[in-house]
Amino acid sequence: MDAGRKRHQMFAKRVCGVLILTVLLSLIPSVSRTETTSAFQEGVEYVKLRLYPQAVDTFKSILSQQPTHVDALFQLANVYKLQDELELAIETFNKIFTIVADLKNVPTPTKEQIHGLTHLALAEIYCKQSKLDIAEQHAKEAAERCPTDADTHYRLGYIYTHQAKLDAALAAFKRTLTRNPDFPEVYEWLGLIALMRNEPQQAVAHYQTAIEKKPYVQSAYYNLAKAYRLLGDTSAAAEQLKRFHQMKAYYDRTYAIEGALTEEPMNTILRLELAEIHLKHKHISAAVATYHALIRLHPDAIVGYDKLGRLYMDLNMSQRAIPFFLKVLELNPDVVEAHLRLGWLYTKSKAFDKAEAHLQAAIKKMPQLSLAYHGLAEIYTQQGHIQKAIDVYQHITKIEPDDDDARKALHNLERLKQSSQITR
Amino acid sequence: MPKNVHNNNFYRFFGFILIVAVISPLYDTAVFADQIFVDVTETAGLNFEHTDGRSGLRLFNEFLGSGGGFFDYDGDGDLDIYLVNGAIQTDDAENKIPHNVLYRNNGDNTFTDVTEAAGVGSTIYGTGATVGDYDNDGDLDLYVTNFGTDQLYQNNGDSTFTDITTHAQVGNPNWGTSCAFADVDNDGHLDLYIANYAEYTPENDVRCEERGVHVYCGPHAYPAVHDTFYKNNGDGTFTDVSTLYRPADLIPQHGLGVTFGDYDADGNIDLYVANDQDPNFLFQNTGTGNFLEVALISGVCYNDMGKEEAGMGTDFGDYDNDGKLDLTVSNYQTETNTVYRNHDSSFFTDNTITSGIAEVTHGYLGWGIRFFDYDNDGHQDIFVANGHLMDNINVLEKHVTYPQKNLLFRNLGDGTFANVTSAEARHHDDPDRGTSVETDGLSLKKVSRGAAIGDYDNDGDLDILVTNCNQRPDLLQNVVGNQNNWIQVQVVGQKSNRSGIGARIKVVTGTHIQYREVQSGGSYLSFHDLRAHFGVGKAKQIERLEIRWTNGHIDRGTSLPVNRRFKAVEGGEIVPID
Repeated sequence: MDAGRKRHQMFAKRVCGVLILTVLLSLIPSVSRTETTSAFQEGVEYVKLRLYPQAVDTFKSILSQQPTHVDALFQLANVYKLQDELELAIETFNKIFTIVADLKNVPTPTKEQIHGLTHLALAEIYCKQSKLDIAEQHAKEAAERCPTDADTHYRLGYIYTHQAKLDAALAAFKRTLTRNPDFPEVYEWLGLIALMRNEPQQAVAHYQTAIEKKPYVQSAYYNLAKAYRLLGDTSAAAEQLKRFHQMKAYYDRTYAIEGALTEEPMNTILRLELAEIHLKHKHISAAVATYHALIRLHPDAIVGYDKLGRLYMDLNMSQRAIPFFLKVLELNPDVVEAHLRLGWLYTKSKAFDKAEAHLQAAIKKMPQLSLAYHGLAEIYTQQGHIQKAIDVYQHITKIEPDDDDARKALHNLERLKQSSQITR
Repeated sequence: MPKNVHNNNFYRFFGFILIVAVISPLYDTAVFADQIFVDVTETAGLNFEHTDGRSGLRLFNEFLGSGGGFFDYDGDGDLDIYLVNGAIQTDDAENKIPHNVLYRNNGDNTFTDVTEAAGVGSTIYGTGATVGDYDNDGDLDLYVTNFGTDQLYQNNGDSTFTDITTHAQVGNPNWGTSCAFADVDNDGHLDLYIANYAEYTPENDVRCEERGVHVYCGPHAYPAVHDTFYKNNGDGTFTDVSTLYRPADLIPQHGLGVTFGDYDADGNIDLYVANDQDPNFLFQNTGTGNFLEVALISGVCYNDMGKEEAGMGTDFGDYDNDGKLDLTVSNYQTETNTVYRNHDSSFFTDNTITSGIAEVTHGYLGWGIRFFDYDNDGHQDIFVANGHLMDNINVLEKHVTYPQKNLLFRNLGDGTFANVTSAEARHHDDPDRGTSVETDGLSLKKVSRGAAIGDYDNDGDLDILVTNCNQRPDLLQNVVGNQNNWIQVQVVGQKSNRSGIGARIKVVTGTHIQYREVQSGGSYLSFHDLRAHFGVGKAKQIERLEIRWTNGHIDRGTSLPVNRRFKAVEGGEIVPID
């Protein structure tokens, strides 16, 4: 059984904030050799999938061959941080300073950037360790070395807020927004500072912006309600609390599942449930990411490809949906529904031959499947093959005598045929 | 490593340096120049050793600790001490049966163990306790919560007690934690609220691990149970009215901290419950025989991120002297303690960060917490008892220790607090023993749980009793407070409950106005001096003193001298005691 306490610590990181450092390969200029690139990318994938032990093994393996592989060292430290092995993380991040200083043929700006990002990571760790004074020094170093990086200024603003240095925090957050105006967390902190300063009207504006930019964060609704309450608008406050409750239920459930998945990363049912919850709350990007994680962990999981195909269909993104249904058929050619969906998707993109082939394949497997015939009739109609379409609809009415849609379509096509004959 | 990374620790020393140096020849323990509290446990004769029944199995009921507090059980005018103990839970106990202990104050800064004579040495695995004159007979009765059936000890008025749990029908069978008496229905009889923690027996204990390390489980490993509320029938018995008072749709939570206070100033005493990793409760007393749970709409349910925290202890107090009761809650490490400011008697703002509490408390796991004016400057400060829950936390988090320092925050009078806790452990040499003895009460590093406040030495400033897990308690004598002036008010209800619990006292000195409500609970598993203590700075007299009793009656006194203790009998004059 997992220790509930620890989970709660992760759940309630007020001082540690919500920013997760996502420093990946592309952010650190590669100073490593190409032979380890694929292993490195594999390690990064493990991190994304929260398979931390595998990630640690991968990065350690790279480092055993190339002890100065800065990217791998950075990622290894990052994984330690994610695992709350904070002392190990600090030790590993600190090694980067030494290694980078000794690296030759690396331009100074690159070294500065690596130093800056390392300081930023250390700032985050010291925040976790309640050592805000040390965190502040690291964040300052990070901002100095990576002045154009919004994250460095955000971290400073975050630290200053918790030190109750509100003017300094506001200035840091302002710098963050100058560098990245779409930084939703900043608006939340601006809202919180406004609340602390008893400026509820400003708080309302900031939280509304935060919600607009990122509607899935419960705290924004909670604090927006508080701002309305301070303004005396109790009905608006009640409305926001209602939304807060919905978002909190969503957050709590997804958090619980994510926690369970950390212990059981291969649990398909849980991952599917997680994606469904994201979808229910229209958090599409999270749902997509969850399905992608599923198929990365289970490359043969038809359900993952099918769900992704359907999701993209629902989003009217036909071209993105098609490869997933094709993958479904590659894994199991007998999935009739995939043929049907591909028939529909190809029809939509006017690839009639492919569409027809898939529908015929579906019919071959299920000769009584009226939907497939409907698809065929639609293709023929769009291609102007009226008689072929009429023939198909007539066939449908034989196998599905109660299919009113087929009857209506048949009736319309026959009238169309007659009128075209008269015109001729 | 960045420049100056390690050079900013002066910040931590800031408040510490501000404390005025005092060396008092009256104390036989060495006092450092800038000390505020001196550890006098040993010289006071408190030999009590707590046991949490540590089995090595990390049983779920081992970590909450036990409480205690100050009360004048024998009515001799000075505060005695009661300490709750755990119990051995394994078969290999060395024939040692731990029990609760009552210490009588000898009036000379020492105490004598009178447990056996008093008959309050319960051997059940104890957690918390509270006191109040539930039978209005003029002496203080004692209620003890247990991991097991709770107990009510009736004070016989002759320095002995009788366990009348069964007769009084208050044998809460749940795992009770903090508890408090208050007259919820304003009928002149004290009712009793008990926070309950979880549905657990050692037989159904589950093993919890974190990164492969065996640790104590979090509360959600076991289902929560509803709290218990007993209505005093006025005839020596109580009725369990929990289901009548709580909202029908209330979800049970893991209750730990309890504090009563009339936060909405409507004359009906309300109740706040700190829950562990669950939403906290604010029960608004409707005055019509039930509570409304209004924590969320009042802004005191969650932290400012809209998240539950691991609420441990809690206390109502008016830290900004605006006449409205504010709230503080102690929480788990990395969560920060919380300070809620009462905005308009129906809504609280989260002032944790702006108060200066956040940054310091983030690194501690807080339990007992209490507003009190340690330096008698007219502003309520905050004391927090800390200590980690996991005995092996250092294996998982190298920078965290199981024993932790307690924290004292001085109220600067502008809505902010300064950490005035000693920065480092300090000792003096004890030539008799040839050892070094730690005397600075604020430099102790222990596994603390409960914190009770009271002027045990009757010298005009508030002292602290801290209970610790598997260790002796700490009696911390205040050595600076009485440099400023003060008064204490002992209230005696007539139509209102005899203990005066819930009475609201207003003290006016010049333009400075302060309020207190007499409380039987608050903090964590602890109870406190029922006398209302006011520091009044350099004021030479109390211009006005008002007592609003729980039945709405108001008594007044004017032009009272400072540095005196007063007795106020409901409907009578406010007179000096000595």
